[in-house]
Amino acid sequence: MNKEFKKGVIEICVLNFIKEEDRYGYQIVQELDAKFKVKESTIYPILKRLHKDELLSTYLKESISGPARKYYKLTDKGEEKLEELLHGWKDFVQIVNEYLGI
Amino acid sequence: MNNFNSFLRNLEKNLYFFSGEEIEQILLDYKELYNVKLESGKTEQEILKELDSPTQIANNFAKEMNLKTSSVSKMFINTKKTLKKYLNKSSKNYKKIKNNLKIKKQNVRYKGKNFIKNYKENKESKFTKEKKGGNFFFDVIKNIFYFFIFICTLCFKFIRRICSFAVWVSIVVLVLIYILSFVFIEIDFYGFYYRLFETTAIIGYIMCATIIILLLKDKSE
Repeated sequence: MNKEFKKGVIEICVLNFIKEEDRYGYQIVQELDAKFKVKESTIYPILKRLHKDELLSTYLKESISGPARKYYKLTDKGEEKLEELLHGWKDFVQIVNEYLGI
Repeated sequence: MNNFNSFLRNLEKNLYFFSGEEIEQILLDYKELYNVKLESGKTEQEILKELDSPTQIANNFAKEMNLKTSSVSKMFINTKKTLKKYLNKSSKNYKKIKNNLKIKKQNVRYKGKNFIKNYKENKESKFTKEKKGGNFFFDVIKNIFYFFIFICTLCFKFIRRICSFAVWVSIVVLVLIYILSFVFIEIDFYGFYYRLFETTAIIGYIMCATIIILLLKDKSE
């Protein structure tokens, strides 16, 4: 997948993936690595920014094995943002598809 | 990169543009990632191979948070650090010198009262390593030098045309000696550099004064 394409999409995917269920860092990394072949060095900065913009909140939860993990949860603001992004994405794809005659 | 700890240390260094708390958070994230991967049965080396380089990670963070990490800003931070170090050191030096000066001043006062006595004592202990009071020989040279400068300033008007270059050179040399003695005052065992420091300072003041006087005279003429 083209690198430039990925950039904008990942944020939507991360938000959507966390919306389904609260996730911890490695789950998000693994999922996106499997689908889009992006590394943890791309995901963690995005998670950090989303957290800073208060789209995500974090909490620690004990795991069955090993130390506690940091879970990410979508905030209300995050949900609004996701809606907005999904809407924008649909419009964008439609316009591009129409233009390209797909 | 041999082990995960050195990876973390390296990453910490590269994340210099974040606050300490933020760096801690990022390092915690990476520790968590490392632990989860270990649990899934990977070895340390395999995990390290999968991770990007610390500089790459730091760059990504900087880009994402809209921070600039150009080499120039890095350089600026580094120079700031070294400057801070240097200033700390020099302020220590300054205190040392100030203390030294106090002691020497007391010595000078004492010397004035017991000049002849001191001179005799010095003469006696000329070949011993012990050093008490002032060095008479040095004092004489100092006084001669002051006198010489005094004469020079008197004749300055006549020899100025020939000597102006020499005067400037001597000023530069004086300043150099001044700085050097200032530097070496730390490893001063026999008070030599201190004396150098003191005399050059005094000579410097006298020269400055004479030059100012001459300039004023020139203007009034």
